Amino acid sequence: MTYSSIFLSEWYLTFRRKQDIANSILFFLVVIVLFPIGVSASPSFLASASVGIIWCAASLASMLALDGIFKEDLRDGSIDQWRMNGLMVSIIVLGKVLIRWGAFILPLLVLIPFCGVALSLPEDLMFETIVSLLVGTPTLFLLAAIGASITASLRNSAVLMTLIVMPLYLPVLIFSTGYVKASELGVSGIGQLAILAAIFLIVLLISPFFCAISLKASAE
Amino acid sequence: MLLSIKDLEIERDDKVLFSPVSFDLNSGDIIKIAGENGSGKSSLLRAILGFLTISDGTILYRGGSTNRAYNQFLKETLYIGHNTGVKDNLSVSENLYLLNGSVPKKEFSTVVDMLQLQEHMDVLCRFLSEGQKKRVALASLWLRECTLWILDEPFVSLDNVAQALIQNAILKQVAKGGAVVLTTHQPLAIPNYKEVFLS
Amino acid sequence: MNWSWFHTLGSPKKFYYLSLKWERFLLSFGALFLGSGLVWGLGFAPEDYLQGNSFRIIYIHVPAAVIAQSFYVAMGVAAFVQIVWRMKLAPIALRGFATVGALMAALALITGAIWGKPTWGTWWQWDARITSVLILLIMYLGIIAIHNTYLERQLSDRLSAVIALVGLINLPIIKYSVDWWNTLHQPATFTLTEQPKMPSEMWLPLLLSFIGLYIVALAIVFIRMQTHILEREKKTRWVRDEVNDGV
Repeated sequence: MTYSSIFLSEWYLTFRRKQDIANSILFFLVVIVLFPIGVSASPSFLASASVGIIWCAASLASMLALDGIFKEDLRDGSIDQWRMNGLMVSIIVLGKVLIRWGAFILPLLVLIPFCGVALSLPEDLMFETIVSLLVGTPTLFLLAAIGASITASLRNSAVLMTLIVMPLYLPVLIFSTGYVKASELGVSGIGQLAILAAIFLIVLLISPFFCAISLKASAE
Repeated sequence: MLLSIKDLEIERDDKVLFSPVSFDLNSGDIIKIAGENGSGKSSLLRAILGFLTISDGTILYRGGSTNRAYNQFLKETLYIGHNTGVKDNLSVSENLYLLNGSVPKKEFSTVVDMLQLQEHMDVLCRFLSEGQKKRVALASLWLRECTLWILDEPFVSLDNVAQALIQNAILKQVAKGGAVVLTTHQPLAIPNYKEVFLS
Repeated sequence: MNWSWFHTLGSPKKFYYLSLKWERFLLSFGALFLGSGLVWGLGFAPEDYLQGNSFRIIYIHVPAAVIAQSFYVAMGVAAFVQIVWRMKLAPIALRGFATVGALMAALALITGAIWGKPTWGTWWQWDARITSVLILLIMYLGIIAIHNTYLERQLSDRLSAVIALVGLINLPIIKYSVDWWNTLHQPATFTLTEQPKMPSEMWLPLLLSFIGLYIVALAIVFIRMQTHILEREKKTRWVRDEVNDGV
């Protein structure tokens, strides 16, 4: 095993199981649909809520996309083989999460303009919404990976994962919607964007490390 | 000395698995770990690999117990456990590449022919039988150059032909100066192996 | 440096007997402080000129909220010790602080709601402090849930330590972001706990009840830890002797 053989295999596996990614994207759409129907369909409400709705849906969908990312590796003994080959579990975790993020964010970005129209998202905020998703969702994925690694040995992990990961999501949720809202008010949101990037860097440092600890513990 | 185990004990959830185990492994040795079901054979192998916390005793890798000695040991060891690392959703050829990424692909064909996997190269492993999946994992025995083999139940779900192949491979490995630690319930048709019994 | 105290605390047996000794001490001092603080605060401290008598709930509310936060830090330290040194006592302490911390957070939320009704006219307000405590409670519950989910004790100890430590690292970020979010949404909320110039007849009993509740909470943590120690070490001789003596 080498890093490149693992990442190439992960690439194949992601596309072979593309329905998993598709499911999380469909879930995103379903949550989007719930808001106009459940809360209010008036364009004035939707216009002010649209960014928040998109971000809530993206948070939930990202958790669904990562639930089970390590389950197979734990079950089929891959984690043992990574370690046997002297590879760092944390680097493999990082690679797996990034591959999955790539497979998730591309279809999501394609859908955002349509969701924006459906939610009466002001047109001049479309760009900022997309930027906020691009900067914010990698952090969400890295945080969800911690939850996924902790629940890797459980059969039904989605609810528990939501419970432990959701509090960690809040800063990302707050500053990414804050960034878009700042632009809405005509203020520069670059500060919020910088904070988002800083949070990303912190999480980038800690997430693979803690994922490795919990995966090794689960493999015992 | 490749490996030296002294008074090793493992606890799982407050239960001691077996009475203290000691043995030395030199190049050319074959050690068979025997014991009843649930006596902790697999756990012992995983403890040797450092994947399981030991509650007592020492493990020396080539006489050392440092991190460096351990990492060196992992590098020169091939471990095939119950869960082999074969991915259900990858084809045989993709799995062979995944597990033996450092080996040039052109070396695969002779081993694939020997293990009679050539017709299944593009079949996903989830559609193979248990024995065929095991062969995919065991291909590493011929593809990789490792001094020490740690094999957990290598003969399970294999037919006689494949079992004979593995036994031959083990003999060749020790003839080359390597060493093998394995668990099995079967009698080995191999002369001169040591047995460690867990109780 | 002499590290023997570290090892003494690391041994569940020694901690068990030591904490048994401390416990009476802590409980009596805690009850003394808490009792006098509450009697003074509820009975004799002057009325608030704005809120009347309803403000008196701060004698429980504020201590509970502060303890909930500081226990999270204590739990995080236990998690760190567990991950780095795998000390036997660390997961036991982690679980003790988590349970009592969650209780304190819940107490702070409930008293906050009771206080909010007469002052704000509503049981609940998305104020920065209240939201922070709510998130803290959810994080506590998540850790307890992880600890309860796995039947393998080693695994549940280590995984709950991971999530506790991740939570501790993220806590400042979460708190800061919630504060920021709150100023964005509700710039006009007046904060109740930062009243300018609280007279000493008001804050002295607050200090007393804070110290008292803190000590009592710590004693409850110790009692819970003792129970966990007995359960975990149930196969050892000393626990058998201890339990049989009691019967």
